[in-house]
Amino acid sequence: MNQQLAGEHLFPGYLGQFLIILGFVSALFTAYSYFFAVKLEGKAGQESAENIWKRMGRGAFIIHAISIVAAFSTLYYIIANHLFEYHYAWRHSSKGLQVKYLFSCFWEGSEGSFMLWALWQAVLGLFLLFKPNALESRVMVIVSIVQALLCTMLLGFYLGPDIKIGSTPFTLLRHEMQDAPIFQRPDYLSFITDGNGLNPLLQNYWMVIHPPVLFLGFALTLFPFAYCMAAVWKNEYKIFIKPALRWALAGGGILGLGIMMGGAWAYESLNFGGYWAWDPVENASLVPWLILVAGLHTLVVYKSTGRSLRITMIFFVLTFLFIWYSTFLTRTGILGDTSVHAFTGAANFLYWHLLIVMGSYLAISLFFLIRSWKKMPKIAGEEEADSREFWMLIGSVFLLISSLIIIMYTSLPVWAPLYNKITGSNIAPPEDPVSLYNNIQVWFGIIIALLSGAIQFLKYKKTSASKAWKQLGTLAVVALLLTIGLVWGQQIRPVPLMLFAFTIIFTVIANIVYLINNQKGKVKKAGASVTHFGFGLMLLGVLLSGYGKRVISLDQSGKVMDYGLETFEENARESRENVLIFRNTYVPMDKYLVTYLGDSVVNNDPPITYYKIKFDRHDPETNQLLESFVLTPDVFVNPKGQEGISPNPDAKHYLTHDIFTYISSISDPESKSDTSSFIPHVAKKGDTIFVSNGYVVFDELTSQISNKNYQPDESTIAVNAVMSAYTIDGKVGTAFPVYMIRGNQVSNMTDTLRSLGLMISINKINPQDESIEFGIRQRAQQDDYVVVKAMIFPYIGVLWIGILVMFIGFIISWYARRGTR
Amino acid sequence: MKKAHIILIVLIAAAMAVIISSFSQFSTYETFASAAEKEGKSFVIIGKLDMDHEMEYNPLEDANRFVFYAKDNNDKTNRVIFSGTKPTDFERSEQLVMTGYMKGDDFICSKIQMKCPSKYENDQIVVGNEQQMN
Repeated sequence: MNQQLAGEHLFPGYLGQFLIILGFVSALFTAYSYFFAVKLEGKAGQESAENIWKRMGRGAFIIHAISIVAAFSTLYYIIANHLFEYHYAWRHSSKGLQVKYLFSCFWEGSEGSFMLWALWQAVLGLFLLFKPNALESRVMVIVSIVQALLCTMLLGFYLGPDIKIGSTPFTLLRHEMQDAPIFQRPDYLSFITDGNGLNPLLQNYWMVIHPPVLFLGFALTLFPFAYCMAAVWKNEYKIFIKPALRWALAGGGILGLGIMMGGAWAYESLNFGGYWAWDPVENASLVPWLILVAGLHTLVVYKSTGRSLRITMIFFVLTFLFIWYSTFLTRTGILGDTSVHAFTGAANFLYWHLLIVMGSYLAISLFFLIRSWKKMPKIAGEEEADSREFWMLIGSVFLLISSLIIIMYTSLPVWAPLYNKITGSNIAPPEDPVSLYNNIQVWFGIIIALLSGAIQFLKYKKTSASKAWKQLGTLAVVALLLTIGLVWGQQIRPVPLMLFAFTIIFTVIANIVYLINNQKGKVKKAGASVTHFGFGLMLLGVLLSGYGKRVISLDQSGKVMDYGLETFEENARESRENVLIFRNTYVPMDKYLVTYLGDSVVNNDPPITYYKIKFDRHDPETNQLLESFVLTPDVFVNPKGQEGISPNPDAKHYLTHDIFTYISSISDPESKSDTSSFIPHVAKKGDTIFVSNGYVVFDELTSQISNKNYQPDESTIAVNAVMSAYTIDGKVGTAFPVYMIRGNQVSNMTDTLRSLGLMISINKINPQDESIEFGIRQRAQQDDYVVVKAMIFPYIGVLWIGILVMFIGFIISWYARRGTR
Repeated sequence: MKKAHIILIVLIAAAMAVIISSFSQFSTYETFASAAEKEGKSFVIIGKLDMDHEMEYNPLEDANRFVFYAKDNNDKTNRVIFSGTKPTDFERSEQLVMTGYMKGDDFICSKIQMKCPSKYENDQIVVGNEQQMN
């Protein structure tokens, strides 16, 4: 037991830890009970005994689920109440944080996200309990074992001084940092006034919604796997089909959505310059999704023809294994040098822990599969070459190979040491990983797009009717014509991309035609067509925005660096993609004249500065202003403990393209230039004072103080001047410098107008002629500048629409398959 | 043999051929010395920021030129010219992974990946208005 020190609340920690252990034990007991239920399944006269075990299993799992939910709530309580005696609360949250970001804190750390994962799986498991189904016992054995193993990640037990099992979020700060002298004091807590805070990059709504959706997707992949194991356990291969298929559809939709939410986040808030960078963390989630989709299709084949059962099993097992592998890659720090996403440093115990857990899953899967391999039903003879099932199988295999290639490159840090031992060469990721992935994956994209359109028109067993071929032929011709238009219009040069454009257009129109013509627009059957259509749109968005993406902020003014080499010269000159803009001046970018208008600060922890960047587009001939908009990319200046800036982009969304910009560097906001000082100006009410790029009007002097920084005081007489500031665009703001008299002491308070870089104060008041002497200081323009990067993403809207449509398609399929059939 | 299996084998063979041929695109981790031997070829060098030398970033002159000194794993310090802006928190980076090539005495760098001390690993606690302790 911990001795309770001053101000500590130890109960939540004890409760939370107890609940995790309870969750772990109850999961084990669930597995145990259901295991005995399985043993008694089907045995004559043993139904009542079987039922007893089943009910015990259900009860145990309900206790497990409640424990997890309660542990989750306890951790949230600790974070929300800022109990900084707990390491987790201290590390990931702070008092100044807005309430909506408290959940972001929750999943910022490894333990919190494991807990989220466990929570989803527990909730999904409960669904299984309340729907009567014959496979309940077997599936629940698998589910509860996995839950138990997941709980071990949260235990935080020590076996001896060196071996740690799991990591608990309920540990105390003073236990984790025992060497810090402050913890020798019993009143240490009074010194810890605030937590470490949430990384500013994570202070946005994406961090609230992306992890829950993603981890729900992770949790869903457990169930097709569990159903496969349930089927092979007793060699019953009929009843598992429908539930496995529905779980796979739900998983495909939600995991896919979760992955692309990460992409949307990267696009909107971070500075990867896009939505997908083939970053290891992105790839590690994409790979199980591709394999899940492959398994889903071969399961449909099995359902319709009795073929491809074994490969379906392999797909669903691989999906589940790769989900855990993605956890392994991202959390153990093994990717360290190759990913901007590496979430934690190398934690040795986590490395071995996860390896053992993955090994267990592999062992269970191999045991069951090998044991039943020969017993799984097979259809004699092989598929016809013009049958649906043949080509669906080919398509699924393509998906598998695509994902294996991706994960192989992504895992380079894992196998590089082995490669080094064999060849002696210490390889590193390529100079341009994006090209490497794109150049290979485009071929898979071409094939998959083509198949996702064409296969719809094939029939199971054999497609003899010439009608199908005629349809395909017509579609191909129409697609070809449209492709020629697109390639010419977008000036797509590389041949693989032209092919890609063709197959994308083909699948888009093929699926629409199939839905309307062949399926007669029946929504119930529309799932596949809608999903494929959405997929096609997504690929179209990828192609157009990726190929057409270009940086428009090209630095024309800097010194040209002297490079002797051809290839790198291009490269390096193109890296000059940041442009400096002084306040109230403009630079040309593409069709636009881009002006930096000024900045404004918003109170937050840490403070956020918004920079107003105006884009004007004029008709090249008449010089008429065609359009004008202002983007406000923002920056956290000097976030806690950091130097420099943490920028977030802003974008203007059109139907046909996005203009995307962010601040890459700023002038020092506190810099004092020798040339700017307070210059006196005498003015009467209504007078105008001219400054650089604008003017200020002295509206009136009033004792009603509008200056927010002023604290009223009984013994002080205060007045403030209302100063309205204008530029050629109109009024830009108002300043309220204050003048105060206390006894015989006079003082003043300056007010600032950042958009003009002005600081205004009242030097003297002359009551005789009702004039005021102001001191006005304006930051020299040379001191106030930003360095921006701006890009155009053509047709990126098509990508987002495609994702939503694809998700809807998954839901339609999932929903259409409910009920007994 | 089944048609499907034949296609499978062909696919796998093709994939392997593609992958092995792509190995030539991989970089290798080098040091300044070994990169200097193969001047002009692109490599990845792991190093640390050398704070003994001054860094230069003057966006008023050139927004895309950032000069600093880095020390590689053989403790050799070299001048690095990066064609971009000065990254956030550069001074606090624990490790730099730089991709580029040697030209003359300088390492011309096109990409930097920094390993920053995660706030999570930082042993500093900011304690009210009192002293900071390690």
